[in-house]
Amino acid sequence: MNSEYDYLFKLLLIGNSGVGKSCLLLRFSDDTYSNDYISTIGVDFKIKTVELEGKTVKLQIWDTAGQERFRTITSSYYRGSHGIIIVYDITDQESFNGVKMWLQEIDRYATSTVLKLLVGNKCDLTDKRVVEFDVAKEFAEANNMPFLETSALDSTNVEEAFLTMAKQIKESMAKQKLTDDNNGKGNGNNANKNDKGNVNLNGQSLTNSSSGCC
Amino acid sequence: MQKEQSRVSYGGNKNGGLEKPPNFGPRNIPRSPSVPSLYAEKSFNTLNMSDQMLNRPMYEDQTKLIPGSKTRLEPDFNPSPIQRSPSTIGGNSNLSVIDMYGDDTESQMASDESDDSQPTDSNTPTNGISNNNNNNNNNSCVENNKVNMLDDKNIPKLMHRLSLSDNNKYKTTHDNDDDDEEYQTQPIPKSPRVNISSKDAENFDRYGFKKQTSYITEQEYDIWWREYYSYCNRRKNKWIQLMEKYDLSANDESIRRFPPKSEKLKRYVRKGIPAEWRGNAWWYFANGQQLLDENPSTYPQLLLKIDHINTLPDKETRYPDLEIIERDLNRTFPDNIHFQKESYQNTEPEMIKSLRRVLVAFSLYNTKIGYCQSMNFLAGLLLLFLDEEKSFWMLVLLTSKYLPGVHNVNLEGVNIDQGVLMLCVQEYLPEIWEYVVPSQKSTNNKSNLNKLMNSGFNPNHTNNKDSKNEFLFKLPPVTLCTASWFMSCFVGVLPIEVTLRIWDCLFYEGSHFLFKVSLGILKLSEGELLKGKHHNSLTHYSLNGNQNKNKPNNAEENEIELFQIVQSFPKKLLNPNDIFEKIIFKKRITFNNLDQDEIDRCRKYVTDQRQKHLPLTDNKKSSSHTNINDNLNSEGSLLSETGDTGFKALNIQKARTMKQNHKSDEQLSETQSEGYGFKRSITSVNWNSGLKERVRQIRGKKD
Repeated sequence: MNSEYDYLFKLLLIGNSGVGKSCLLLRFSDDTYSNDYISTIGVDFKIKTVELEGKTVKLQIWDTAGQERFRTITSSYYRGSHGIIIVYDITDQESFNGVKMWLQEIDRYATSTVLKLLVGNKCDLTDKRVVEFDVAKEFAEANNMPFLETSALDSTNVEEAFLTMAKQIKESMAKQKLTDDNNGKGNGNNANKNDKGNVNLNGQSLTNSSSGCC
Repeated sequence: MQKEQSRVSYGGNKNGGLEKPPNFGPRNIPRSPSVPSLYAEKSFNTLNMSDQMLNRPMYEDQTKLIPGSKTRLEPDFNPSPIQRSPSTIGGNSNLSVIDMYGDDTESQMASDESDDSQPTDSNTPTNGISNNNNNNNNNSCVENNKVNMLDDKNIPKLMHRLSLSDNNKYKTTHDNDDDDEEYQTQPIPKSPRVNISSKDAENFDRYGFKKQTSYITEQEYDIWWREYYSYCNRRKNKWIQLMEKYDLSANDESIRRFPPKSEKLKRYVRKGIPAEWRGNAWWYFANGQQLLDENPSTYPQLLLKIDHINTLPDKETRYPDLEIIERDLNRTFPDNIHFQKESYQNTEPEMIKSLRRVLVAFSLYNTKIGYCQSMNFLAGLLLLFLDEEKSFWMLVLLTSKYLPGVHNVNLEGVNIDQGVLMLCVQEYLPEIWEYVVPSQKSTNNKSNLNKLMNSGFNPNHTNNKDSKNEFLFKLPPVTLCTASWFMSCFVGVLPIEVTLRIWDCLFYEGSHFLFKVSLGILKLSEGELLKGKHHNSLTHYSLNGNQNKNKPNNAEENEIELFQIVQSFPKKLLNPNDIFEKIIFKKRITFNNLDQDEIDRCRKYVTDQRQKHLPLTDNKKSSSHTNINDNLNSEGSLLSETGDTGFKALNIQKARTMKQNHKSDEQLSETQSEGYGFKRSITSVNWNSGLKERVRQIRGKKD
């Protein structure tokens, strides 16, 4: 495996069933679109490396099953994520109504520093639109997260969505680093936390959360 | 549909400019340009055609398409869901393949088969079959080429169930003696009929699935199928001989009875049930008929209820499952011709309608489960092999007997089974375990000691017991991937022929087979994983050169590696015999000793462990545990009902051994925090892996 990267970010895609999470991911990771897609059971997982402001960023993206009952098992993944993309379908009011519930899930299970992004997918289906851009935009602003409308079908804004997320995370880390530096690098546990270039995953990553006690 | 229309009217005027075709979203019928399929060519063996078959409407215009010699060697899969289809089997006994492979007498066959893992004389054709993956590749390839010479274009044409409408015939002709009156007056709706043009038939396998996937090219498929196809033929002939021995008609697809359970039959099942018998065999081994006999009017009544619900204006709010089912119908097998709609067709495929009815009926029948995503795959595959009603009952059996609690609202059954799987990985695949729970490794550099700790045998580590079992209630991330293996019984996870072979064994042997296969897949992927590990340790870098940083980073790399392999490796496993010959039939692979009893004990142990650590307020979950235990008990009893005496005797023997060597269940629950103790026989002693490798090499040389 290629380890040549400066940052490793873990992203999570959530949202109601059928809003197009898997299609977004497929468009982003492989730049393809397929009608032959199947319901996601559990999670799907993709890796994509991107260049961001001169840095190589490896994105590890988890695509989750949308059905409500899967939340009990996918929620354990919230904690390890740096960014969570909430997807709804602009032609499905229910899926937009569901965003509130997904935000609650994030509050409940994710770390407080996790970054969010709201994505209204299927924006190519203009004649079927039921969720207006402005409404969603307002909602996103009220909840302090960026918002984009995408189309996995014609690739509108797909890359932008993931890159927006990545950029946000990178900036937030830089900020955090600054704070930590000002605080004299925090306590001993976090001594290595923000060493330059090497992304800090301590306290956030799935693998390290359990080793924190050691 | 209704909803979609209303959406159109809502937003229709808004954006007058660009009107794109509404070809996005799950409700769309997947259309692939390469599949303008319409008229099915039923490429089947002319030799096998009975008059009856020719009379069936489906075949009428196809008879002229059939080039007998071309399709002569095709294994006859006539996926007609019910036994009503006329025989296509008898004809196969004419196949020259059989002679070429010199099929022997029963007894010889049996002994050949039981020695799969032994080096064999490559001149013995039957052995060539079972050792395709050992050293006889060349030999069997040559033979296969010979076989295939007869059919240059080769084989894998569509052999579809062309007419599920047989189902209907079945109902109306009262073919089923068990039908009661009510049942007959509520005929199960007509089932699909699919036609595929001969041109497109090339792109699909015998069940109507597109051969090509994102992981397998059509060419790869064809090359593999050439070989596997003759394997299927050989196996079918052995089955025919076996059936004849038991005076069970093998020349008729309407066989509903199979030989009594035995080690030999188990082996036969493991080597694959002939495709055209599969539906009936699953039904028989899972004891579906009993369920149907006891509840003859249940399914027809559920259909009536569905009709009623469809008239309700607020059906979607009253039955929220309906909408989720609707979304999944076209996301089940978009790559299967039976589930596809042609652009000019206004009506949806019959198969989609059947799938909807089965899933909705189930959601009404078992409200505790309702509809859970992944059941669409289970029902979809069942419908390719069984009629609607039987598919429904098999779904009932799958979700209660084989996968208890797995599809329940809280998915606790999934967590329990994943806990069990993790216990097994820890016990049997310590190398992989290091990837699964990497944090343990970073605490200890001595990997051997670490392995010992992880395997949970070291009595000195009882002080570590809580953290040792932590993974049971805080499941490792990889389980979210492997959970889907169980939820959909590998449908969509593994290529179809492999999945079917697993289903054969699942219904014959029980749910422990899913664990075995899961461990088998992980075991097979071990090579790739370790390759990555080696690479990582060599090339891992750290910008600040701080050695301590390597560990967490390495753990992350490992986790990514593990995920990638767990996700993609199974999809590339085209050849069922890769897993069966290399894993399942190998006696020296320790986890092959796992049996249903052990898995049930594991399930109970994990259930208890999880219950202990779950918040007491979580009543919902606790109640489901009880249910799972109930289900487990019922699985046990159902198994013993269907099991033959030999099977039972074996279990008793095992139970005795278990009692001698280990704690009884009661003792176990008292001391459960000490970790689960797998029952071990001499063969399951964990070898020194270096030694194991050397032995393997020596054996390889001998071969």
